[in-house]
Parts: sequence; structure tokens; C-alpha cells
Amino acid sequence: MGRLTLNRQIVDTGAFAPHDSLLGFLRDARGLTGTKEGCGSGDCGACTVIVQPPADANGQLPPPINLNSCITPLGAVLDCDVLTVEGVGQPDQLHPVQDAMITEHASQCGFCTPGFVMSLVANQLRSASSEALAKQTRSDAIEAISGNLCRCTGYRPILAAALVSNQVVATNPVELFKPTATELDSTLLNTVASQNLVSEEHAYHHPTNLQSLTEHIGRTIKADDNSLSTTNVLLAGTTDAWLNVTQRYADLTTAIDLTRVVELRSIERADDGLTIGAAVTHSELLHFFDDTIECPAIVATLQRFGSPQIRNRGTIGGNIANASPIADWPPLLLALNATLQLVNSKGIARTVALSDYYLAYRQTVLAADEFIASVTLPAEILWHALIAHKISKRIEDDISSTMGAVYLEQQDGVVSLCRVAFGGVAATPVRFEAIEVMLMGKPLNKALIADACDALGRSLNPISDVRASADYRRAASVAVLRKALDEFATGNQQTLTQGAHA
Amino acid sequence: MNKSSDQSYRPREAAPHESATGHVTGTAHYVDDIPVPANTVHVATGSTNIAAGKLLSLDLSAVRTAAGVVDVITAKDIPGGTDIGPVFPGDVLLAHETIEYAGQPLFAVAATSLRAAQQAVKLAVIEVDATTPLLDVDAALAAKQFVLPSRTWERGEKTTAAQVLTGKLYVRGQEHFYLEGQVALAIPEDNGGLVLHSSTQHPDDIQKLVARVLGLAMHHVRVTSRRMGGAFGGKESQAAPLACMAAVFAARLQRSVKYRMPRHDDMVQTGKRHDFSSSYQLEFDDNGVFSSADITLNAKCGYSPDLSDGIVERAMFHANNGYHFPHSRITGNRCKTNTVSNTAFRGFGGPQGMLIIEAAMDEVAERLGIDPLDVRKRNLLRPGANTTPYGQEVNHYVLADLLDELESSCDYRERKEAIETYNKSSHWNKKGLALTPVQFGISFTAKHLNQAGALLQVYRDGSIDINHAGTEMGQGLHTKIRQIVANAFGVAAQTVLHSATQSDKVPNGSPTAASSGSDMNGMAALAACDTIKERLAEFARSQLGWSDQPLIFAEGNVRCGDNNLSFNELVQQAYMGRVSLSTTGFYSTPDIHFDKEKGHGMPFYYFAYGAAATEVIIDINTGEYRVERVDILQDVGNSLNPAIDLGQIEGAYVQGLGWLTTEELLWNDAGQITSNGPANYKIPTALDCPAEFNVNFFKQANPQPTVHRSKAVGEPPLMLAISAWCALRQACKAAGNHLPALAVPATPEAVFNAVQEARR
Repeated sequence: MGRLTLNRQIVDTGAFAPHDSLLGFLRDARGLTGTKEGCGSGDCGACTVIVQPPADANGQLPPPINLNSCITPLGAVLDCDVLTVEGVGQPDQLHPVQDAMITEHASQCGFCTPGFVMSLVANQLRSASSEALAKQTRSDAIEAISGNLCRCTGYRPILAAALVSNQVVATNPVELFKPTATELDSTLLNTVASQNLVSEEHAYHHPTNLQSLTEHIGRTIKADDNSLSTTNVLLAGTTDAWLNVTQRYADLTTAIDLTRVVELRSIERADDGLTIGAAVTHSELLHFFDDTIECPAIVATLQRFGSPQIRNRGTIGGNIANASPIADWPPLLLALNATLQLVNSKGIARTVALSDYYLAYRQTVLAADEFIASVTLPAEILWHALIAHKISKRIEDDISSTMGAVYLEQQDGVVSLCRVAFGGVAATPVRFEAIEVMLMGKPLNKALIADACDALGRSLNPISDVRASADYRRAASVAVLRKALDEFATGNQQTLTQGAHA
Repeated sequence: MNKSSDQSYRPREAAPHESATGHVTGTAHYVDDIPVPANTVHVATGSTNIAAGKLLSLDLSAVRTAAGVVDVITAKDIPGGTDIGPVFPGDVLLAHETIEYAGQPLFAVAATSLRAAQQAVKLAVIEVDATTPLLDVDAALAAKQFVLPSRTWERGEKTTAAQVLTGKLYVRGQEHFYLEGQVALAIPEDNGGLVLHSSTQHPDDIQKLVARVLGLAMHHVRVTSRRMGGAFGGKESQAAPLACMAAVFAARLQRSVKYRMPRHDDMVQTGKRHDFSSSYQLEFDDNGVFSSADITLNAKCGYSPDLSDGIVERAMFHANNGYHFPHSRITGNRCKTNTVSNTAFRGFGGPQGMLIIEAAMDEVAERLGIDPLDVRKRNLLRPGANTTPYGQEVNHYVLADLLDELESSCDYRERKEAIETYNKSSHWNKKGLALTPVQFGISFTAKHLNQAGALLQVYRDGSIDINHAGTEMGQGLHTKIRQIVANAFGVAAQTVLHSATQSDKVPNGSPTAASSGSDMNGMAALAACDTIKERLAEFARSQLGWSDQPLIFAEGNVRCGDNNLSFNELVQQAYMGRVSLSTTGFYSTPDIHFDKEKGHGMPFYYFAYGAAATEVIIDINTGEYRVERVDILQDVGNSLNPAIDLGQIEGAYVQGLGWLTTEELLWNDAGQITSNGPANYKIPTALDCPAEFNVNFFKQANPQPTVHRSKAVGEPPLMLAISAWCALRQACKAAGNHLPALAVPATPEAVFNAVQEARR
């Protein structure tokens, strides 16, 4: 049992299982069939809804997010304000986005349309100000809908509707959440949220602090359980973990949700570096790096990371913990020499270099009762000394065929510090220390770059799969390294796809 | 706020889609949104991942006892037999004894929830004696395995030529990726029959096949389809297994049954656009003018015939695109492979046939050092050279003018020069520009399908209900028909309601396919309007004493000389005068005929034309690329609705662009599809929409008497995207010294490989 606010009304979830998805709840329990299932895997956006998470520990309301309800646990949105297309506008009272979608002829079959409406509305709600909204460009509109697939229109009229409706809303903002359940936030978060929701053996837990988290883990997950548990699980953004539920139809017995653990939610800059809580989302990091730290490589990578819906839910810790060889964060973090803080069910913490974290395909040093608490980037990083390139079949919302990140400092005309990392070329994300050694202490000239590229080509032995052949992975990885080193050598960028939204 | 509800729209006006308000508010119902009876059960199917073999044993005991399972069936439980082939036998609802592709359903489960059904099907213990599967066209050709007989059409005399060019091209298929997956809902009726809600382009086929598997007469099966969440050909024959399976369970259990395929199952179990492995020998003079074309089209049909006969035939019909071959020899082979049976997809084989000749055109130009556009123009069907390889004479020479107009409006020559300059100075990025034509034949090549019926009902308050056998998949058919009917009676569009397509309202309907929807159903609807108008005129003359002059229906009124009544008033009086206010309309396309064996006749009532110029830029180091600008000129005749036609053109171009660039259908060596979900099969996103996208209509009425002299628009513009593939190939050439081979689809990897070849 739990409560949430749905289209401005407080509703009781009734009994539910930890593996119940928000989409199923909306369609089957609540009869809100405007939200569609297109893929069940978070790739098409037809199930997009908007969620206003509860206030954080400081009483601040985070910005509302659009997310894929098909891969979001119902448990994850307890105590939140959830808005579906039905709550945005009705046939006799259309929201400006809906009105513009009609007048711009932006729907054909109409099945994807509610999802587009939600992403466009979310973009408006997330805009910093009316002035900023009014100034949005076609590129902003593309980014807003980059997690929504339409097979009929070719997108041109949807982009037109975005820009038309932005102007309307910039002049006349539309209130969609009031009356909110803000009183729910304060009363329920501390009482209901960390309780069992169904029964002792069937529960969705929402610990709100580290101590409560470790206690829950201690009760349900044993340190010596070497099998990756599929019935008692730690969940963060669920953008990957939930595929077990929707694609492999796994049942969950106990879920422990990490996303409201206050200690995992902070970003701190201190003398010893930048420490990012594991449950900080990619969207939050995109804004943080965009606003606070000028690091074009991280910002450009994050702009192509999944889709807005994925970035709004997915966390940096999750991207590392699932140990995928094709995750987007690890090459960046390896090149930046990141360390991880791991904590176990007894509350004991240890620090591990990310380069020591991966053991083999989908295997890490993480014990069954252990979780990633935070990621630390060293204080001495020069943010412009990082260059990253991602190669994928489709530019938006695709998984890397290969992705490379190079951190390189030069002093007195020679390479003084260098780290080279790739994803998508081996069973785990990897650093290429031999290449780093080759480059160190030498002037970054054409001959050296060619030697480094040759060496990389020789050392790679990637696989062929649906995304790319081994030969292309090798060649493209070499091209990525060459590009990066050329850019360090000349200062000129020469790519078509990076910064596609710029 | 709602600007769209209270306006009257006529043909030629940009009326919004009739369901637009429902779309944007989520209130438009698709099959999965229909409230279901309380005891509805849900279906999932079980299979093995072995591509070919004999089924030795199928132990379903654990499936039967799994939580939530209500019923389990195999092929022998289907009363009327498992075959559901739409035209030829061979497509099966459930396999028995022989397994013909990886993932083929062997049994089905009905359970209290979809999740329970999906969990249960995993519990089967399946033993198979695996045999060596035929997984590609070459293997099938070597083994001489075909789903249907091959055909060769030859015309004209072969003469000697200065130039001979041979080549081959492998063209991969395409997953439909309609956003709404396949779905059907069966509800038993008290007379032994059923109602089927089906997301289908062909309710009549569903009716026929459900009746067949249940051993019922067709009148016991009522099929209704209000709208589909996209179809693109993928719901012409492929909707049938869902409806049939739901119907079998509904008949057994006397409960409502929903069968909705999750995306993964849909991508494994439903057919796609055919891969084609094709070869050609072209002979031409030193100016690039053809004397002979010998083209062999080998289609990967999958395990069964499905609609492959017509699809390969349409590929053959379009192997010349808009060009003249004095001598031609065109062969179509329908290869049988142990893969899912491929099916209709927007263009129906036409795109694959057309791509071969367009690829060859660039090679001819390369050989002779002529601009590719000039080679294309020199070979157009033209007076004195106007017979197609299948014997149809073309008498309207649209393409020459259309190409000239686009060449000029898009500054083709100037931009070619500018690109050459750019390519000389740009080290890492190269650009390419190509302008290609489309000539697409309009009519079903299966002659009997060129018929349509409509049912028109005028109610005594003046409101009108129009129904026909055409289905709505987003293409705006119902919006256009509504405009046609509203215009016929001179009333506002909202006076006319377009109800769901229902097999018990209009029988024996053809599929909504072959771009024929508005052509045929529009004419049928017009015929019905004419009948009612004649009855009203007769009533007005005999009962109201109006003159013999024709009635004028306009602006909600009916005039005849000095007499004038509102439409509603006239209808009211006609009702009181006991005039029948409902009627059917019927249309069959005139003049068409074709002899398949000889390859001769007039299969097409007319052609739809178009051309596109696409400019691309590539990164020669990685093969990544971007489409920078697209200019399109499309011949839609007198547009029935410019907004809808524009949407069809833009949408088709981007869909075609996906087919030719990022959408890569792949299978592993065991015959299992590896591009089995949207995470690894990439359709275009908004970023792939060309930043500069100029679309114009070629202003010319259809010379044939079609509805309001319009032209079909659904499929033809898909092939405009061939210009993007040709442009990418030109950009690859600019990275080296010759025109390289470029794979289809031209993924970044394929472009990278082409750049390497161009430099060798």
C-alpha cells in the first residue's frame, strides 16, 4: 500500500508487488489508457509521464521530470505527484502543446502522440524561465523529444508544434500540479516511506538515509550470496534493472530503492575532489556540469546519453554498478581517474579505484551486500583536458559501438599526464596504459599520434555483434583516438555528431 | 482553445486529422485501450530458438499447472486447422511437427494476465531434432528452395552495345516498428460467433481466417477496426495470427480473449520488408542511353508464401523505375529461408526493385564521367520510348518536367559545384548530393482487390455516417473520406461521422494497402453520395414540386432554381416522405489487366511521380553522417488534403531514410534475429529529420478520373529517400577516387567501409 498524487488527486495504490510497473498501474488499475506501451523497455517514449518528486531533505522541490513509466516501478513514485496526458488537458480544455500538435498536423496514427505531449510539456516545466522558454530553438525541441519515437510523421511538424506552444506557454504559463500533495511529502516520507509496503516477504523499501539502507540490506541480502540476486534487489533508476521485469518477466520479492537515500543524493566539491552521490541522476549531472564546471566532453557525452527520460531516472552509480561494457560513464570516469566509495550492509566503507573495479564481463569487486555510495573525481583535474567521442549506429538514444575518452595534459611541449579509456571494445570498460606510457613525456606530433593509433589498433580485440563488427569497432576506436589526439595537438574540433544540440 | 472542432473543411483543404483531438489527449482508443469484460484472459506463445527441425516432443505439463494458466493449445486443437495463409497455403498459426524458423510459435497459453502467460510459456520442455537451416538467399538459391515459382519477363530485341556494366547489390529489409504492437481482442457472442477487435489493415482477411480456423461461416465473425497505431503494411496479413489465436481460445473458453504481442515477440514473430539480393547487367551507349537491362531480383521470403508473390512482382514492376529499356529481361525469385515469413511494407517490393536501377545509374554515370542526373534524364520513358518492361504504355510524361523543376528549384548544378569545392578543401568531412526520381504504379497487382464498397447513412436530423472497408492507420484516410462526403452534400465536415471499419457494414473489403485507400474508397463513397443525392432530387421534384434543374448542395443548403431548403430540412422532409436515406456505393478500378506468366498488360491505372534531392555530409574517419538538406517535389494530383499529403511525404521520406541508413536487420549464424528490440534496431529520431526539408507538390491534376483528380500518396514518397543513399555514396567517392560499393543500410560502419574502398 502507498499513496501518490495522480493528476492532482491523492490516490491509494492498493496492494502491489515490487515488480509492478507504473505503466501497468496507470492503465490497468486506474484506467488511464492515454499512456501507451510501445516497447516496454524505455526506448520509444510512448509511456512517458511527468513526475514531480517529493521535496528533498532541505525542503526543496526538485524539478519535475519526464520518465518512461514502463520501466519505472510503481514503488518508485510513491509520495510523488504523477501527471499523465489526461491530467495535462482534455478535449474541451486543451493544453497549448496539445492545441499546437493539432494545428501543426503533428499526429498521424496518434499512438506515440501522448508521449510526445508529455515530453514537450516536461520541457516547458523544466525551463528555467519564461524568457528562456521563449528563446528555445529547433535544437532544444529536438533534445526535448529525443527519447520519443514517431514512425509516421518524420518529426518536422512535432518540432514545429514544440516551438509554437513554447511561445504560448512563455506568455501564459499553465499550472499543472496544483493543488499538490506537498503535505504528503512531509508527513508520509518519514513515516510510510521506509515501511514494508505489502508484507514482510514482498516489499518495496524506500530508505531515506544510509543507516536505514544498510539495515534493509542486512535483512534481505546476504554477503556470501554470489549469484546476482533477482528476487531481492537494490534499485536506483531502473533504466536497466527493470528490463528483467518487463523483458524477462522476473518477479521481485524485495526491492530496496536507493534514490531517496539522502547521502547518495549529494554533489560535493571539496579539497580532495568532486564527490558525486551514486543516486545522482544523469540529468542532474548534466545541469551541474553545464552550470558549474566547464567540461565540454562530459556535457556533450551526457547530451547523447540515452534520452531525457533515461537521464532523468538513470544514476551514475547504476551506470557503474551494472558493469556493462558499453555504459557511457565509465570511459569518462576512467580517463578522469575516478575512485568509488563502496559500503556494505554493516556500514563498512572502502575506496576502490574504478580501474580496479571491473573483473570480467558483468563482474565487479562489489560484494552482494555492498553498494556504490559515491564516485570521486580528483581535485587536480583540468576539465578541458578531457576529450570523448561516442560512435553509435544512430546519433540519438543509442548504445555505443565504441566510445573513447582521453585525458591529456601537456607541459613544456610534451605530454605530461595521460589516460586513455574505452568502452565497447572489451568485456569491461578498459584503460590502455600501454598507450598512455607511449605518449608520456613526448611532443604530441603526427608521428607519435600515428604510433599510438597503430598500437591501439593492434591491442584491440573487440567482438562482432548487432551494433558493429569487430573490424569497425577497431577502426572506429582508432579513429576516435586519432581525433582526440589531433584535437589536443591542434585545438581544433572536427566532428559531426558531438554537440549535435549545440 | 480548440481551433479544430468547429470548422468546415472541403477537399483540398488542410483539415486536421479527424482523430487529432483524441490523439493529443490520449482519449482515442486503440484495441488495447478498449475496456474488456471482467473475465478476459491473455495470450502468449511458446517457441524454441532452433531455426529448423522436427519437433520430437513437447512437454507442457509445467505450463498447464503454472499460476494463472487457464488453457493451453497446440496446432491439433485448432478446429479448422492451423493454416492461415492469406493467399497461398503455408503460413501456420502454430507449427506442428516441422519447425521452420527460430521463435516460431509451437503452442499458446491463455492466462489470467499477460505476465502470467509470458511466465508460463517459458516452462515448456521442447525436444527438437534440429536440421541445417537455410538462412539466406544464396543458400536457398543453391538448394533451389522457393516458396512460389520464379518468373522471368522478357521484352524487346537485344542489340550490341558499346558499354556493358554488371553489378550486384544486397538490400536489407526493414522492421515496421509501428508504435502500437500487434493486438486483437475476441469477444464471444451468443449465436456461436464472435466479435473481433483487431488492429488490422484487412478486416475481411481477419474475418475469412477466423472463420476458417473455427470452422464457421464468415457471417458468424464480425471484425471491427477503428484505428491502428501505425501499420505500414505490417498489419495487412500479420494481424491475422493474433485475431485467429484469440478467436480459438475465445471459442474454447467462451471468454473474452486479448492477444497483445510485447515488442520483442512482435519483432521475432512478425514479418518484415524482404531482403533482396539482386544482380544486373546493363548495356548502354557512350551517352549512357540504355539498350538492354537484365535484372535478377532474389527475395528472402522466409519460410512461407504470405504475400511474397505480389511483393516480388512489384519489385519486378519497379526495376525500371521511370526509365526505358529497349530490351529487358527481369527475373524474380521467391527464395525460401528458415526465417520469419517476410511481408508487405510500404512500397511492397517496389523500393527494393527501384534501388537496384538507381544504384546502377550512378555506376553508369561513373563509368562515362557524366553527371548522374543527366544519365537519369536521358533514359526516362519518353514519346517513342514509352513502353515499360511489362508492356504498359506510359502516356503522361510527368517526370521530365518534374525533374527539371526540382533541378532548378533546389539549385542542383550550383550546389554540385559548391560541394566539389568544399570537398577539395575539407580534409575530414565530405559532402554528397544526389537527385533521384520515383515512378510508382498505382493499383493492386492482384486485380480482384481493385474494388471497394461504402455504406452511407443519412439520419433524419441531417447527420451523416460514412463507412467503407478502408482502415485508418494514421494516413488520414477517414479524414479525406469525410471531406469528400461533406463536400458532396455541401455540409460542414463535422456533420459527417466516420465510424469504425466493420465487416458487417461493408463486406468483402480489400486491404487498405497499395496506396489505394482514398482512390478506391473515396470513389465508392462518392458513388453512395450520388445515389442519395439522386433520391433527394427525385423526392424534391415529385413531392416538393421543384424543377428538373440539378440540385446544388452548398453551405448547408440545397438549392434548385428558386427553391431552397437547408440540408437538414430537406432530409427531414424526405424521411417523412418515406425516402430511403441509406445506400451502398461501389467502385472497381477500370481498364487494368495483366498476364503474370507473359509479363504483359496494364497493371496500373496510373503512376505517381516524385523526385528528391538530398545533400549529406560524412565524417570519413568514423563513417558518421548527417542529412543536411532535402528538396522534394511530389506529384499528388489535386491534393485531397495538403496537410495530410505533406505529412505522408515527409513521414515516408524519413521512414525510407531509416531503411537506407540506420535500420539494420540482422540474424546470427543460428538464424535467430539479433535486432530484436528498439535497443538494437534504430529507427530515425527527431535529430534525423533533415534540418532543411523543402517539400512541394508538383501542380498537375491526375489525367485519370480519380476522386477529385487526386493521386495516391501513401507509398511513393518512401522511395524518395533513395536520393540520400545515393548522396552518401557520392560523399564516400569524394573521400577517395572512385564510386565505391555502399551497403544497404548505409550505417556509419557501411559508410566507413565504403570510404576505405573508395581510397583503394
